[in-house]
Amino acid sequence: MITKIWIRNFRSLGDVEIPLGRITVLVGRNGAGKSNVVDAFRFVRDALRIGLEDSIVNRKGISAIRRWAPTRPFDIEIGLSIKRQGMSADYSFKISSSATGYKVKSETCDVTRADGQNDGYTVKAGRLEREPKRVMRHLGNQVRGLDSQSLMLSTLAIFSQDFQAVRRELRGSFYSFFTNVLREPQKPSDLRTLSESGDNLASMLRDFQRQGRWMPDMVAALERITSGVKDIRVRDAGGFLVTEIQHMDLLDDGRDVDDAPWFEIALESDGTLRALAMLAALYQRGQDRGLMCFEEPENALHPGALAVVRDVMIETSLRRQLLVTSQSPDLISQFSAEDLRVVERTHGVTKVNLVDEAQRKLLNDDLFSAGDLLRVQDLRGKE
Amino acid sequence: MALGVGMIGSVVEGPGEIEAVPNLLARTISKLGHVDFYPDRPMNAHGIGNLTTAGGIERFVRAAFAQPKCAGVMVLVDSDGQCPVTLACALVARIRAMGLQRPVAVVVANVMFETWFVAGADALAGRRMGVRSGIAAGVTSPDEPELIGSPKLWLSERMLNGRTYKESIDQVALTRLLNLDEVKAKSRSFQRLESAVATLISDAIAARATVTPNCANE
Repeated sequence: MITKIWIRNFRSLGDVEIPLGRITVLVGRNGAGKSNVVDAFRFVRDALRIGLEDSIVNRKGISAIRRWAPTRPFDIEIGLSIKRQGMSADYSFKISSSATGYKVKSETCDVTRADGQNDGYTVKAGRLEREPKRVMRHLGNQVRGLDSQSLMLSTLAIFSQDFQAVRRELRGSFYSFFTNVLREPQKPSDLRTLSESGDNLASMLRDFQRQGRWMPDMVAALERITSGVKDIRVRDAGGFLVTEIQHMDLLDDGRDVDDAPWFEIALESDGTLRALAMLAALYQRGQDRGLMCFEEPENALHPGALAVVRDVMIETSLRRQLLVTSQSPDLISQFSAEDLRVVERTHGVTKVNLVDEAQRKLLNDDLFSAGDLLRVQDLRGKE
Repeated sequence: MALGVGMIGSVVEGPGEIEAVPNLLARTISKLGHVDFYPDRPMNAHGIGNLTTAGGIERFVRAAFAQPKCAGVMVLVDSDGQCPVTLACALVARIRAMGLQRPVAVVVANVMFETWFVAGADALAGRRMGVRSGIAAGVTSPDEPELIGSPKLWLSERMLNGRTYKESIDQVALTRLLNLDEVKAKSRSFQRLESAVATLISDAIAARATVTPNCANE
């Protein structure tokens, strides 16, 4: 898991260091910078997956992601600490920019293994300043004049299990579901993970249906959110997959009919669709796929449903690390103060901190819930 | 209140109790042989703090009685580390000061609602919660369930394949499976629940606005 991220001059973030738990909830006002924190994780994931250049282009260029400065541009820095069985690691990089483009100013990775076999490297301005010991055996003296527009980690991960482990931890899934995508009949897909837009939800549900293990749990959770849900199935329709939800249909005497009606997912409410997609994401297989992130999972849900969301998230967090953003008093009240990170923006710069001591005392004394504080004073970050 | 069909209102602490408490109340009422009473939808206080704070319990009890058919109210809270008697009697004193016309019973689950699942574990073991797998087969209830400090963790540790106890989903499902007599045999606070409901109903029928427990020695 990622135990810490530090971010400098990325979007609205000035200089933040955020400790992370199995589950971390970012709370803050609109425009405070919650999504920018999430994007820092996504940026690292993208840079290691599709390359730094495309990750920057997809974000409309370096000037759109570095923090704005009146004089000369700031260098962006992102670093992460990682812990997994038998090892811990730090990985960070710094990017400088000018009117003509960007350069990787430095990149460094340090792996500390429980068996004492440590490894690491530092690249500075295209020069390998510190060589990764065990990789050099494979590369020999080939490593000269590195591309200063790319990060090395993905390449080195090919040759070293240590760097591969770091790269694995820096994967992640960042979900944002659009109900129009979920409503449409979907093309079958072999992808074993739920895509970030949910456009393979039907395939995932079919997979759930076949392997069976979590399907009943998912149906039970959905039933707590949308009352009357009995079952979920996926049907083939002319090369597409159509998800259907069975709703309980009570007879006049209160007995449940055996052949309760099935409805196409297109007919379900936005809240039901979003809840179903979120549950499919939380219950999917794959422990080793890095952080899973949900932005404002409370959207379109009844406050009573948020306890279910919290409970399933906590269960999932035993298998996979979660990052959540929220501005719902009802949702944040469901988490303990230790899980919350307060995102605040002052003078245009985003800060991220634990809940301030005085407010935390109010929470511990049961005088207020975190949601109450959000309403009456707004949550305050520790100075 | 005159004889007739009446509702038993309730004030609870958490999300799972919204469904679990009416189930427990309905079964207890029917076990006591009453047919004229049924549980109302509980009021969720979202944590003990909202009850112990000034004006807290009063506001919730008043809201529960706002339903004209409400014949009596049960307040169910978790002791969760506090002395159950002190907690109950502090609430009783405040409710008495309200000068209500209808009866109220304060019940403190020791340690919490889920302790009753630990006490009734024999009946839960190996049973499915609907179609889901629940508490593992072979699990038995410890001799003194009220000594288990974290019953939710105790339950999670006895669920299979990486599942955890999730109050919002599992509390009502496990409540449905409980054998009330078994729980009663092992948990004094559950005995109190049953006697509280019995008193609540007999007071409602006799139009006595009693607030229990008695707390005379406090």
